[in-house]
Formats: sequence, structure tokens, C-alpha cells
Amino acid sequence: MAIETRMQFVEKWAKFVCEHSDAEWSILQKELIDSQIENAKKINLSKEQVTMLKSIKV
Amino acid sequence: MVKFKILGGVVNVDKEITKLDEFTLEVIDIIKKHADYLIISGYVAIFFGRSRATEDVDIFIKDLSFEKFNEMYNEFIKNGYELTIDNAKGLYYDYLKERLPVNVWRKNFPLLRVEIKLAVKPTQLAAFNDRIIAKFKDKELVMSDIESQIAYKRYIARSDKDLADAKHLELVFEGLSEYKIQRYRKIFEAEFNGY
Repeated sequence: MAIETRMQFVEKWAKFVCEHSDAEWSILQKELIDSQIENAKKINLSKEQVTMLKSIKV
Repeated sequence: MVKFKILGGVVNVDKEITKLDEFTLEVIDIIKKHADYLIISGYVAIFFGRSRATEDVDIFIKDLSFEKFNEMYNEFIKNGYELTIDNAKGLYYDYLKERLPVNVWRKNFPLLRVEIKLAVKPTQLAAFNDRIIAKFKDKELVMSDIESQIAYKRYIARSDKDLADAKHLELVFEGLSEYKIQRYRKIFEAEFNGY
């Protein structure tokens, strides 16, 4: 994603956070974060695999 | 518009607790018994609503004795966590004291980790004086000052992700001081770039 597009999305989402209650925005954020964590659990990487992945992360 | 507001060093947030928050709280519950800590970087932006996850929660701790560190290590092991290596002495002297991060994760889930670093540089130690407390539900977390996070991400780290985190924090907080951001910028630039 180009940085301009990413920033536009960041601005839109930040506006949503400001215009809604903590309970409202955080339900959506929880769905996003929890699903990513659940997916990561399914991959079931070992300590060695994670270390290797992190060493090549840019 | 309802923005986050820091009053007397405290921000109240009435948000849903994510699995990332749960993990962070569990690890911090152990750390805080043994060391002064401060959460920095991406998790700060995520805690305040940024729409992304992370695999690493970065924290600084103040220097502590090996005995204290060993107590913390044993408590992690007793509660089902794994650390970078299975040896408290090695972790303390070869990692923490050598300014290398010590990673902590729940057994069998190494992808999500808390990365503990010793605060050594003047800016890292000074960050403990400017910390904020984020209160939510009946819990609280100690975090780095928002202006310092923005300055670091906007002027030092500068990856797309960092710039987006900085932008998010700028937009969702009320009453941030651009003067303070620029002051932090000068301090960080002097420390990281030598000017």
C-alpha cells in the first residue's frame, strides 16, 4: 500500500476513533487484533522458526 | 469529537480488552513486582486505537540486580512462560546487561512476545520521568509520554508503520504540545544521529 493511501486510511480510522465511544471503536479493533492472534496460533511456529523469521524481517 | 486526554499523567480508556492487551497485562503483572517498567513504541499506538496488531510489545525496565532478575525469571517459568534462553544468568549478563532484548512468550506461542530492554541511554532513563498511566477497567499500564513516541516515530524510526503510528497518536489525543514534540526530536537526534 502506498504511504499516501495508508495515511488516508489512518486518518479515516483515527476520525472514527474520535467520533465514537471507546466501547464502539474497541469492539472493531478487538475483532481485528484477536483474529490475527488466533490465526498466528494456528500456524504453530516453533521458537527457532520465529527467531529465523524475525532475523530476516525488514 | 472525543479524544483521549491526559490529565495529571493519567488517561482513562473504557475499551474492550484484546488478546494482545491480556497478554501484555499478564506479563506486566509479573515484571512490575520486580522492576520499574515503561511500555514504548507500537503497542502504545495500538492501545489507543490504532488499527493494527503487533507481534512484539516493547518495554524498558530500569536496572535491577541479578537476584531481582532471577526472581522475575523464576516467576515467569512457574507461570508457563518461556524466555530467549533457559538460563537466568545468561539472560541477565549476556542479554540484558549487553543491551540485548530479553523476549518473553507464553509456552508454545513464541510469535507473540514482550521484548524487555534495559533503559541505559539518557533519553530512555528520562522517559521514566515523563511516563503516563493508562487506566482501563480495573487495570493500568505505564507508558511512555505520547509526544516522545510521536517524535521518535516521526523523526527517528520513520518506517511507513512508524509514521502511521505517529499520525494516529497525533489525531486521537487532545492537547498535545508540538513544542514538546520538537524538544524530544532534538534530544533523540542528538542521541541517535550525533547532531
